[in-house]
Amino acid sequence: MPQPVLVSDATVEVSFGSDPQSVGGAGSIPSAPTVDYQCYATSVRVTLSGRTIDLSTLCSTTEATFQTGQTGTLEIELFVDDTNGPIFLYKEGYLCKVKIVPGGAGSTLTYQGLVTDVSNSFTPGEVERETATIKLGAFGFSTTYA
Amino acid sequence: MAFEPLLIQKWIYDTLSSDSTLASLLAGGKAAFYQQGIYSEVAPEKDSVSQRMPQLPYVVFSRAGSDINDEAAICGTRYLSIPVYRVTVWNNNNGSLSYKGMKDIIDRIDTLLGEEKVTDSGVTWYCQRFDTDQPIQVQSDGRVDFGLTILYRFTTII
Repeated sequence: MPQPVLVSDATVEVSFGSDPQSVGGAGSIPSAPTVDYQCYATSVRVTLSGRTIDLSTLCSTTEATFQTGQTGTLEIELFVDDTNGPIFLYKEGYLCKVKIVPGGAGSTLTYQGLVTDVSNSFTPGEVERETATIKLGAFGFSTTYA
Repeated sequence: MAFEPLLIQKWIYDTLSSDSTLASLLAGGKAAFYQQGIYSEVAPEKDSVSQRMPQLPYVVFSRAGSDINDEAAICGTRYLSIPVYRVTVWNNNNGSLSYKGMKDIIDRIDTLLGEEKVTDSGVTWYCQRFDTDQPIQVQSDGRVDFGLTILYRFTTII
């Protein structure tokens, strides 16, 4: 009987480049993620999509879609830690790697891209949260994941 | 901590039952702490201090569900939970209702509980006023039990 992967003890690790991409260029590539944020992260959602062009000709009987590259986004939501504070704040424009090990037989992947959107929520009586969007693949990376 | 609401319940009881100002307000003309006066869930048949039937006014607090379902972090061991507690000052009368005196008691309760951030046994909660209510129960003998209620939500990180 097939069993779905139950995300019950997943790990999430994040690392950033030392400089913003605009300062360090392609050289601002972060090292392999080692800092553990699994107990802050409440959700991670990754979408990968192929960038395509249409190579249809007059004689084509179907749309001749051709993939030219890969793109995608990673959205992550975290509780903000009382001691360490938000981790993505002021990191927009930094190259970033996010490693996810969902548990079970799910594959371990390290997604890489550019932090493009960061938001923090402050609501009376609620816990502070932060969300970040990482555009996968960026100047400096040849793939969206490693 | 598998069942942190018990920590919160104990904190509510300890906080309310140890305050001498609240005890004086509940005692009226009697000596402070003449009876327990703070009860969890329901008032007992016999007060554990006075060894008599609880005298009004007194305070009853109890769990009133949760504001949200528990939310888990990806690691599976950290949770956000928001249990809600109902704290009511009860009194009764045979004629017209008067909240005089009860207002001072509920104000004191709100001073003690409201906006408090507490960490106990690795669990942190923040107590915030959530809603109010004014329950009225008409008894068969014409006596009217009435109260002032504040609901508190406890934003809790485990």
